[in-house]
Amino acid sequence: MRVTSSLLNRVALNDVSAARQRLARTQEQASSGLRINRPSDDPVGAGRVAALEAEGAAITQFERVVSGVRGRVGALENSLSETNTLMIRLRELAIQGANGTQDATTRGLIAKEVESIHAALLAQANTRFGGAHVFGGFLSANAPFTATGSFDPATATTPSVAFSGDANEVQVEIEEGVRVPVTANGQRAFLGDANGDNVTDPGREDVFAVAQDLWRALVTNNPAGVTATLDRIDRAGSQIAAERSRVGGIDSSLERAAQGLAKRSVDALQRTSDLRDADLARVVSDMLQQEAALQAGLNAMGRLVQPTLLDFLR
Amino acid sequence: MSGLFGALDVAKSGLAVTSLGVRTTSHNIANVNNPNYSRQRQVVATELPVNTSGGLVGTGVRQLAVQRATDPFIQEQLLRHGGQLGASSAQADALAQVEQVIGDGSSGGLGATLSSFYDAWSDLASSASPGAPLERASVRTAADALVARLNGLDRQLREQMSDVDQEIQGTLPRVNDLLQQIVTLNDDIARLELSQPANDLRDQRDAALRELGGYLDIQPYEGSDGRVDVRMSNGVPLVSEGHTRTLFAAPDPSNSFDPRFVRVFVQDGLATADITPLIGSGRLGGLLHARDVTIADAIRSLDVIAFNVAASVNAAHATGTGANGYTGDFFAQPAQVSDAARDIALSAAIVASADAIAAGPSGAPADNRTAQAIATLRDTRASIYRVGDALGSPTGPTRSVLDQFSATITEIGNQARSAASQRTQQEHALETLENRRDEVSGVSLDEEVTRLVELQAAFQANSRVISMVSDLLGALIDIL
Repeated sequence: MRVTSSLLNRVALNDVSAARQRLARTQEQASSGLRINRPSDDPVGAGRVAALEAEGAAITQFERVVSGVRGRVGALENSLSETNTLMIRLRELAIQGANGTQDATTRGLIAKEVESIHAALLAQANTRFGGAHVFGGFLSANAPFTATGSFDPATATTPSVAFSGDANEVQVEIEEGVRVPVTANGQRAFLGDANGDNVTDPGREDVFAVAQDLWRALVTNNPAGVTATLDRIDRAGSQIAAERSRVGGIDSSLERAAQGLAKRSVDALQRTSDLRDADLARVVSDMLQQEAALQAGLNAMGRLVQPTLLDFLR
Repeated sequence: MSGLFGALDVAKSGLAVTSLGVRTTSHNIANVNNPNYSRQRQVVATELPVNTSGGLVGTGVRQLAVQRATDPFIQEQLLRHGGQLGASSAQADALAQVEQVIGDGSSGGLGATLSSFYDAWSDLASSASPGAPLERASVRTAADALVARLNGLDRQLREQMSDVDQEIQGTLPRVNDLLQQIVTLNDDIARLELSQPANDLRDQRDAALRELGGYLDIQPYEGSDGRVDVRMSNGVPLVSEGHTRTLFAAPDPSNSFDPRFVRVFVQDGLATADITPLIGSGRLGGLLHARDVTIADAIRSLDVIAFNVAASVNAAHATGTGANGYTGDFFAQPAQVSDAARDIALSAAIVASADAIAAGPSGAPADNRTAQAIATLRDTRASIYRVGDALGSPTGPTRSVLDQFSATITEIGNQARSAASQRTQQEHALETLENRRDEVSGVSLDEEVTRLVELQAAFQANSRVISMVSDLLGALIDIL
């Protein structure tokens, strides 16, 4: 093989520039900390990283949704638990009112408290969260329960409560394909009307009507009537408790979803990192090796500026 | 006596050939760093002997020719690989830019923007009152960002396309210049080679052919008079019998991306022919492929994403009613998949008022079903619209829009990777060939210096012969 000076120069130059290119790649990995800096570095890996990033973004969003929705479900649960407390108080008042030692005056005083409980029940049924009435179905802008009329002991008339919401359930997706209701059906919970026909279903109770009937029995000094409401109060109470346990179930599924999402989020990050991030220890060792190779190449190139026969001819 | 005078002539021929040898060697040394130079060698022969009564007597030496050391086989391979390298490097350059545009994994990239768009719908769906203005405004902002990103990426790719087109046009004058050079060199070589090989002109013509071969895939044929005919690999003649064709570019009104993009024609006298589809290799072929296939495909893959987002969101959105009673599309539905990324925009009603955004079918304040359906599109798998599909009848594989995006990334990454490795491979092949060319044709200083030493010794010896003959003649003259 004839070795000519331009051949020597070209080989040395190409070797040094190849070494520089390799070093530049490794330095890019070291400075960005990433193994994949552009799709061509690892096409399949880059595609999977893009998919994992999309999944990570979706998980982050679901986590946000879950934490936002838990506030709303919390409001529902608070309201139902308040209602439950009110029903217990109503029962105490009924027992008190049925007692034979009471007379018309004391029953009138108890009736006063029943009035305030009725108002408190109405307030709970019209609970708002973030400006929306949680028991109104889709029609959340206006209070779903409105009372017309007032309590008048003289004529024993009571207000009547009408429902203006609807029976729709607002559902929110908290994980891929998993939707949970974040409202409760006010008609079913408070009016005992699960089928939406505006008539209290048999075996269920209209919470407001029970309170109204109790009040009416109290102001008319009718202990038998008062006693008759006790069973209905119990039924109404368990109706609210059933609604509350349904909401509690939603809350615990949110809790589980939050835990699951947190785990998945860590997992997605881990997988993204496994795919995309550079192994720094290895990058640094590669870099040192490549630096040494480059220096050796440059050194060899320096020697190429070279002795020819001319140096020895005098 | 005649013997002595004859010896003077012999020594004189020796000095002359030696001087010419020094000339050739110094020419080699002078061109040691000229990459297109082929080293030259003096070819010498003995002079014809004279017939004397004592037998045939030698009369010295003469220079027959100066030959260049070259291997036509390597030249031909250099030409071919130069063309392939030109094509693959144009391809690799284009793809490196494409993957930078589409494969941007940063928070401003397309993937992140798509995710934010669906996030905004999910926020609307999970807000306490989907009818509230705040979440609607953020849906519109996220949609604006998505539209701007798709439009922007499309514009970047189209700019890249038009840069490539500019380069195609800019390449042609150089190609014509080279064709003209080859014709001129052909004429000079044919004229000079009546007597002697025109080494330096041939080196120049080889260099011009190699450069031309980097632009186009050409096949030179050398005729008996030393001229080369240049044809493209598929037979279209470019140089023949001293007759040049010129290449020119003319806009192509039927180009679906930009009617100003050019096609390449060859002009032969008054006749012109479109050779665009015939240019396969060389940088020009690579540029045409980059413009018409590589970047075009990348734009279409953005179009596919844009069209599918628009079609799926619109289908869901049309089931809802906006706060102001609007029912209809969310995006202005692009008419076809092609150019969807360029044309995508929000529909006029949404632009006019964020209240037109539909959260639910009933339009009731808490109804979030439409918003929830659109948020769910993030990972809803459905048949994807491909280029050419009409609205309503997609024919693509079943995947989500985000799956389509990551599939696009993988595809572009694969293309870029294989183009880059092809280029590296071609570079290595070319380097090997150039080394082989240097082995044959390159100048080795050691060799030339050795030759100089030889020539110096020969010159000294011939001079000594003359001085000795002169002494002998002097001795004779002294006798007189």
